[in-house]
Amino acid sequence: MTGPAFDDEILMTYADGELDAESAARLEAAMEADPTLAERVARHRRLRGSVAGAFAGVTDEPVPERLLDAVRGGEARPAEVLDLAAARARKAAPPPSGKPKADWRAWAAIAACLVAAVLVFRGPFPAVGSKGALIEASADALTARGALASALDRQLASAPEAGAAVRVGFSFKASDGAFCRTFQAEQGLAGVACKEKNRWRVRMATTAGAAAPGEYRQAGSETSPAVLAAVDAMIVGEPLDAEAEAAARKRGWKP
Amino acid sequence: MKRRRPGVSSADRGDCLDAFQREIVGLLPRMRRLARAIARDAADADDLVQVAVERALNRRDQWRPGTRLDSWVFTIMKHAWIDETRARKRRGALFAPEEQGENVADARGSQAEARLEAASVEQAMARLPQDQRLAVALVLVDGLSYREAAEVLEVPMGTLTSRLVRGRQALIAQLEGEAA
Repeated sequence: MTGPAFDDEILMTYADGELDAESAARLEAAMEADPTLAERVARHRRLRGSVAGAFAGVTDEPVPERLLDAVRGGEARPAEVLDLAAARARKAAPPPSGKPKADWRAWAAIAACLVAAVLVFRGPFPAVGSKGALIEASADALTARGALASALDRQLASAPEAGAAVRVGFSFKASDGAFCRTFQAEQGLAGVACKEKNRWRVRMATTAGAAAPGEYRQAGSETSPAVLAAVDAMIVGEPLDAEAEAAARKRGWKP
Repeated sequence: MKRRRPGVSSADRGDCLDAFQREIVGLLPRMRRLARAIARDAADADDLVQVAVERALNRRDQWRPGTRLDSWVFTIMKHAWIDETRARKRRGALFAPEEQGENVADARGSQAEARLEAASVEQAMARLPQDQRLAVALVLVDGLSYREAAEVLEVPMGTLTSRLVRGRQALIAQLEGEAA
């Protein structure tokens, strides 16, 4: 093979998996004969890895509340010339550092809103059995109903029930003393509910991890990041172990 | 669909989002990551995301359902960033000094070595010409295909690949010595 046939652009395209099959086959044959070609391809792959890796952590960071506010406020805002200086001026007074607690609240509100919207616009959750809706929205709270409420009452995270419409992930004690439990249901619905008086109040719910209809998100251990963030903001100590969970159930999840 | 209830202040956390807004919320982590790769400074990056979100919502009528929202939003972000860099040049404002770029990328990384590498990638990215940095950010950081990245940047495929290869050669030269 002649040199110009494999310039850096072709090697890069190959490294990115974007080279057509015919050229790729020719390059692969040439790489076997010429280790320096293979090394140049490897260098492109290494670079791809380190550039992607350098910024990968950003998606795990809590999203600053001002960005969520920007999404919420967008509708009402009149058309205007927008630039970064203006955005800066609109920033909330305290810089968005510190604990992601406010951030969690915003996400939770959006998620709860999402659930409420589903309830409002599409009626009860479909395909969760004859019991109908899992969550009831009232003026000030979301309350677990039907299969969700009974799973929260009965199911032990340490002893998952096969075929149940709702799966409890784990149980923990919240800073206000209430027992709380994470749950997953069909349609990717997941969240956290806490026992308050005689009801399970859904403090956070999301359908963000929605799997294909009728599918669970996966095993019970795979709690969605949004749910984990909510738990982080609420939890005191560690999640309950099997013994503590069973004891809490015996007491009707009363603090 | 507007569901702003009367008597509910906009600060009310129960304020509901419509489908379009929810999709934008879902894109925020990717927008922030892309912005971080483009803007080299964490505060600038989030400002850029905010401007892009506001513009996207103002122009939501221009988005055609069925087309990809992420590409559309990224294009808005690209324009916002180019506008910003032009405005800065007019104002004579300097970019954030390079040292400020350190530890911006993945500052929460637990291993010092990884953080160091991230910081040097970040610095090398910051030295790239704008066009090349955008191409590298879309393909290597966000993981778009060449075609998708070309669409976001509104350039032909050949332009995208040549920017991408020049950007990568520069990065390789900086990060791996002169071996490129």
